[in-house]
Amino acid sequence: MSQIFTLLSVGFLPAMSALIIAYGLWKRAPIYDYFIEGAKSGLKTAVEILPFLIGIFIAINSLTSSGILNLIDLLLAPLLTALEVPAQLLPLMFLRAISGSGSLIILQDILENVGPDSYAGRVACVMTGGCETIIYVLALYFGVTGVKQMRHALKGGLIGYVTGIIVSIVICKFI
Amino acid sequence: MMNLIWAAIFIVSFIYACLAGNLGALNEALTEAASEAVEFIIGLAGIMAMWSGLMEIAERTGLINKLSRLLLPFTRLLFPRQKDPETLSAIIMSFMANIFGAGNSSTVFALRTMEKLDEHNHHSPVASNDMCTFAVVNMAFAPIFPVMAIQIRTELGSEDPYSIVLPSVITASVTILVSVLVCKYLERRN
Repeated sequence: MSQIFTLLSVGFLPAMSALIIAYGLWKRAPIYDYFIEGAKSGLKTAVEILPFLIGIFIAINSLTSSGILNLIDLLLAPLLTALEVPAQLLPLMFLRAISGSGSLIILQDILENVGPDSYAGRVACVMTGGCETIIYVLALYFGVTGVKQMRHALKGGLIGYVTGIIVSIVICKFI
Repeated sequence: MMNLIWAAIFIVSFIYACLAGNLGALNEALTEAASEAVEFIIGLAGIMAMWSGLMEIAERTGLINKLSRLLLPFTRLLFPRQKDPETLSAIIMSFMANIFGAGNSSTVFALRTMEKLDEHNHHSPVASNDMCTFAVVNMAFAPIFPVMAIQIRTELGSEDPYSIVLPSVITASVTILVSVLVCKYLERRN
């Protein structure tokens, strides 16, 4: 089962590329010229989103370096203990919304402390799972559009985020 | 809205750093932020150019049209009014890349989707329903196979590194379902 997953993970994008190129050949299209044209517009997008990225990185770095996450952890720890949720998970719960690479470092840290097969360790792994962080999606995705008013994107994202945290805590009690 | 979030994050961090005596760390972090962003984009730019090139081929040869028609029944659930094949295929590619854990490629397709949705929205300053749904669902997406977590577990001597796959999939499914329902509810309200 896990081998099938690995194969799919590794093979999907190469297979897509092969399909696209093979189809182009079959249609006798000037695929190389098309590729270059598309690559040029891709690079343009990359340059266009750089200012947004710098903005996000400034926000993320100031949050994590100021140490304010420690304060939030300290304040919320009693609440979590009351709910019988391992308090070691707190830093991950907040960092996960802000920084993907940062939360991997925290994950490693948690697993080293509590062991990868403990309840807290498994919850931490499941919690880390998500792909894109909220602030990254909001700034970057809407950065390429003309949108100034994001309507319910933030609210929806936050509700989904909290749902993910709660479900990961509950599901690991059963599986 | 971004104005407010961005300013709030920075001001709160600054005040706390002053109180906690972390100004030195904040100073260092700020200088690093800008160059980190540039380093990150250099890595992303290559992937972006490659996928944009390949998608250009797929678009001009008509492959995208065919694929998106095939997957229309699925996308119709999330984006009932969206008919444009290029937008639909970008959405699907973004989701697929996410499922298979290719985060950077997924971002490329996501940005492409947002550009297309912006065109359909006539570059309006108010986000469309499809934009919100797409952004929120993408935040909730998780790879079927969380490679990094499994790798860390293996290194730390877990008895069954893969035991988190099933709970991860269930968590992601529930989160996506809730996110979609929340979006559909909120879009009707405002």
